Amino acid sequence: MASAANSLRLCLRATSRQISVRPAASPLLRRTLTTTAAQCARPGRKKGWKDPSDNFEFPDPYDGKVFNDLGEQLRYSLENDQLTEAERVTVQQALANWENKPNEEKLEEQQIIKEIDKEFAPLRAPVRARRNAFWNEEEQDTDLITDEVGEDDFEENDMMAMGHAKLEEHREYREYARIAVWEMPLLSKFAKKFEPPKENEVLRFRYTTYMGEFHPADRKVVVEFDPRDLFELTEVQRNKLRKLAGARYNPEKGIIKMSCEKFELPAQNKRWLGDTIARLITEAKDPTDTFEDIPLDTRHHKFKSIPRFPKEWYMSEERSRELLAQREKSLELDHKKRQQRELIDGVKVIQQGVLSTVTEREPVAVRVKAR
Amino acid sequence: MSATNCLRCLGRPSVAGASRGVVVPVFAPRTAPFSTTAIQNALPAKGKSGEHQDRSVRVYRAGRKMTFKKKHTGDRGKPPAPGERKAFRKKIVLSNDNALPVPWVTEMEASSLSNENKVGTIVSLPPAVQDQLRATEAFQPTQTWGLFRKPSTLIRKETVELVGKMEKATANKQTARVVLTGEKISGKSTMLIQAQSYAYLNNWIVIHFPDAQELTNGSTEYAPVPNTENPTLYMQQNYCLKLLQSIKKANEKILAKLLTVSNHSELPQNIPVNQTLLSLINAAKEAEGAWSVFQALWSELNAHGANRPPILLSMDNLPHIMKISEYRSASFDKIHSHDLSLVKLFTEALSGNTRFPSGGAVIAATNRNNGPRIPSMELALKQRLAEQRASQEETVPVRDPYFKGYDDRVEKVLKSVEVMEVNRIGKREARSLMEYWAASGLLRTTVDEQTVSEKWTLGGGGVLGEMERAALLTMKI
Amino acid sequence: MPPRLNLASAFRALSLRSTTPAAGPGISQPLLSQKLAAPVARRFYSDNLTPNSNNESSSSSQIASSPGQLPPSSSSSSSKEVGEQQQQQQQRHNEDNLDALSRLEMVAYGLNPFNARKEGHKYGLPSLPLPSELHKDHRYDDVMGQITRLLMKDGKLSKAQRDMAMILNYLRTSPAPKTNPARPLIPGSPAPHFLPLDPVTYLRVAIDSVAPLVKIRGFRGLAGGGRNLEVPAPLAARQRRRTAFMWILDAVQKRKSKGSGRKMFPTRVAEEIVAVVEGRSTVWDKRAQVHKLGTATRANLMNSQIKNFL
Repeated sequence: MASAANSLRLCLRATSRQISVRPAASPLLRRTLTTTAAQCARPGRKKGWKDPSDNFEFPDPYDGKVFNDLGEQLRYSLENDQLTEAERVTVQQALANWENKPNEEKLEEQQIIKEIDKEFAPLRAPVRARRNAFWNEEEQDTDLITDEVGEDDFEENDMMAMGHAKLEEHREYREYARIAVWEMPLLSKFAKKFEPPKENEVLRFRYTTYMGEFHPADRKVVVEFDPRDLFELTEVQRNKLRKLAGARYNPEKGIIKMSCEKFELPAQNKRWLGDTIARLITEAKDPTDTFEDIPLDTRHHKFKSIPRFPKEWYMSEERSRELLAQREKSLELDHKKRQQRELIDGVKVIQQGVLSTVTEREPVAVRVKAR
Repeated sequence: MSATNCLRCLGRPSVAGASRGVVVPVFAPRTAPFSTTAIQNALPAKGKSGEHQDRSVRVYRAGRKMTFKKKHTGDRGKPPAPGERKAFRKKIVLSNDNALPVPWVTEMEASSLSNENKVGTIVSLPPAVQDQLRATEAFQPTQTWGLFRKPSTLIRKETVELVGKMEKATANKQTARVVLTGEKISGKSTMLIQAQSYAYLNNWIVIHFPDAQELTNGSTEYAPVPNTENPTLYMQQNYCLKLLQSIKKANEKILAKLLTVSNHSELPQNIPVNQTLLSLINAAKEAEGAWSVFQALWSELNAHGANRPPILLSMDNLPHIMKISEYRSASFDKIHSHDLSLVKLFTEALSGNTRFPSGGAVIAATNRNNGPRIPSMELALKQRLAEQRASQEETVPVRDPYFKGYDDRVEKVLKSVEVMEVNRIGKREARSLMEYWAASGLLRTTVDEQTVSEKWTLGGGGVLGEMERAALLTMKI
Repeated sequence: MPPRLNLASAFRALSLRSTTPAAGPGISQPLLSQKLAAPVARRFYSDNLTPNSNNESSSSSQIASSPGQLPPSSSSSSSKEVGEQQQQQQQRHNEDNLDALSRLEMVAYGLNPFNARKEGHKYGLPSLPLPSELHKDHRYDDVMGQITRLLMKDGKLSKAQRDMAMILNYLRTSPAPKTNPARPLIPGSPAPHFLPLDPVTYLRVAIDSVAPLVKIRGFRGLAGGGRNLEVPAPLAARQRRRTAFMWILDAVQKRKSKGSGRKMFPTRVAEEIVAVVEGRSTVWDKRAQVHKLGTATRANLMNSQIKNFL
């Protein structure tokens, strides 16, 4: 049983996968196993025109022409001018077949069709929202981006969603691979040679971009400069500049780093930074107070001390020779001491010491029965 | 309703009471009115011993009553007497009869510590010096004197240097002012012992403060010195008495020969001119008056033109007197350590304000293990070291302008002292030391270069105490 | 269908754009050594940063064409342009390459190209077998190792080791013990005056002397009437020592503490050990009691019910 059902299922799957090209006029009016009511072509519609709402519209059997039987329908289709020769032949054959049939058979067939229609009528009826429905819950929500109705139903005619996602991922990889192969080499046209900043280019700005996305930090501009690069300042003025910079001064690197995100645009922030630095420099040049009596405050900075081995420990050829000489010397010393019997062996010393301290013979312990 | 109930229960004779055969008067004046509890006679009083009979503990655990028997901790007898436990901790043993005598160790002589040829040799302390050092509490329980036959020390390069400074200073009637610094257990206190032994052997007068901590941690009594204002000085009479006793014990022979040059009528016992200094010290029988006796002794020792011997003033654990002490003044202000008169006496000498008539030395040793961190002292010592090296590359460190923890008084005291670093010992010294250990029967290995190198390296590259730990305090003997 | 795109090949094309492959096209059937030489002589897929690729490619092709021979040093046509130093460097490089080549050849023939004695060890190999003290687990005497761990509290092994060192120092500074003939030490122990100079043996003798030979096992309810059937069971050496030292520690617990400081506990243990050797300790009584009980209950060994358990 199961195998039979399975084979049927597979057959159906196979047919459903085919891209069905509906013949403009089929000799068979009704596909077997269809739930759709037969519908005649609407007048005024050209052949090949596809109703965009085909899939969504519910068929209305009372709309348009109504045929009594198959012969009538075939005859009507023969009247259509746009049929090809082959189609016309087929339709004519079918018509001839129909007409050659005995009446009982015709009636029987019609009866079957009617019965089927009757059976499927409730299925075909359009679902309308009930007037007194609770919050119109049966109404389809067309505002949703995805049509959730039946989305999760797996009809076994496709890959799973994860498979699609994997495919999508591959497509993305491929897209970037295409870019890497075909477009990125073209970027080399825009490559510029690195030029170290010139003497008058003291400031180094850093901007932030989030690749077109909005981000509150994308307006931030950071500037770094070294007071030692400001050649027009004297050392005293530079020191004053460092003191004015306060916690923005990094005493380990000697760099002043400041940032601005007050304004909406990076350009405005950059302008502000430039103005501030200019003001700082004019203040630093101001000779009325040189701040020489104030020591530089570095409490904001934590100096990192990297522990290093002492210089003497680093091995050089000279050092290794020295060590070798030392080792040889010590070996010689040992050798000499050993020869002169001056080498001190702790174990021997103890044995000798114990023997020398024992002057009288110790009384031998007598075994006494334990209690 | 309630009234009847109440009355009924009040009126009903208690069953418990009835069973005991005690007639309970309904309105007995002893009962609390409106109580439903039957009156019971008090149980016969338990004897005092009975209270301790029941050693079980009742605990309610998980809603059930459980009874545990307390462990019977046997009677341990009477607890140790006051001071006995500390005495055990501070007990100093100077000899081990099991250790073998080392034939080549000679007794220390007056000149041996300043002899450069003797660097790297071991000398033993003469018994008289041992007693003197014991009197000044120079030995410490953490040192390993108790392992060897005789207390002996290694003459180090630094020893000769220090003793040379002392020698040179006395030759010029100057005072050598030295601060010993160095790593933990690198031998600073032992250097003090060596300096003291040199002083004893050369008939100096030695005043030793064994632990500066005792002066400032609030453990001895203190009182303001009368007639001192701005700043008020404080004397520590008990400590003073102890110090006088130790001075007396350690320098008895010399003090018996020295005579007073002035009259001391302010003391508890009048000391006229031409009395021995020993009798002056003996005037301090009690803590009261000890400070004035000490002052008199100090002025006598520093009397000019009396042909006094050189003086060695030494102190261990220097950082403890460089901080604000634990004492409070009458207005509950903290007292700076330098306002304690004994400390002041030492710091005056260390800073060079006091000049000993026939020279001498002031030696202080820092400690790294149990000492407070004194930024000023550390800075000053670093500065002195840098100045002594006087190299071109090294700059003298300066104060951090934004650090608040500096102390001017401390830096003033240490302005012109000499700083000596007690470094790690070299392999030659290490070898002779280890040979001494092995010959004493405490090291069960052959002392060759490899063993020496091994222990030297294990001991942090020649830190003496660490070497001792690596070789003598191990499970592998 | 999208066009087939092999990513790897695409990137290779990209990175190879600036370089020319080093292998000459003329060599049709390279030898094994040449095959091996190729990666040594030159890395593929890398941009050549040095400008004179001409020289290098020629030299590499020389190596490829004549393995085992030194390349002609100064006769090449480009020698005029190249400085002397660079040439030397090149030569050294080639020598290294040849060395590597010969090693690779040895590998290819299934030989070991390295002499393990000489190469790969800065200080040479130690001679085997290693002495036991060089092994971290057998650094100390076996009794010491066991006892130290019995002394340990809260997993502080280092502290226990220090305590043990203090115990040993106490033993070697205390006078030689006066043994009690009623409490004989273990046979074979050295004379008492030897002991202080060898504290490890001192401790070992003390522990081994009081170590019980048996323990008493109880079999529940086998003696009839719900009583335990007590049966002596022999102990292994380690178990005996453990029992003995735990008894000693119990006795130490009962000793009165006389002082304070980190020396107190080791001193108490050491005093107990001296007491054991001198026969004063209560541990001896415990041992005698266990032995007595063992002797008394040895008949129970014949009990048929417990035979399966023993």
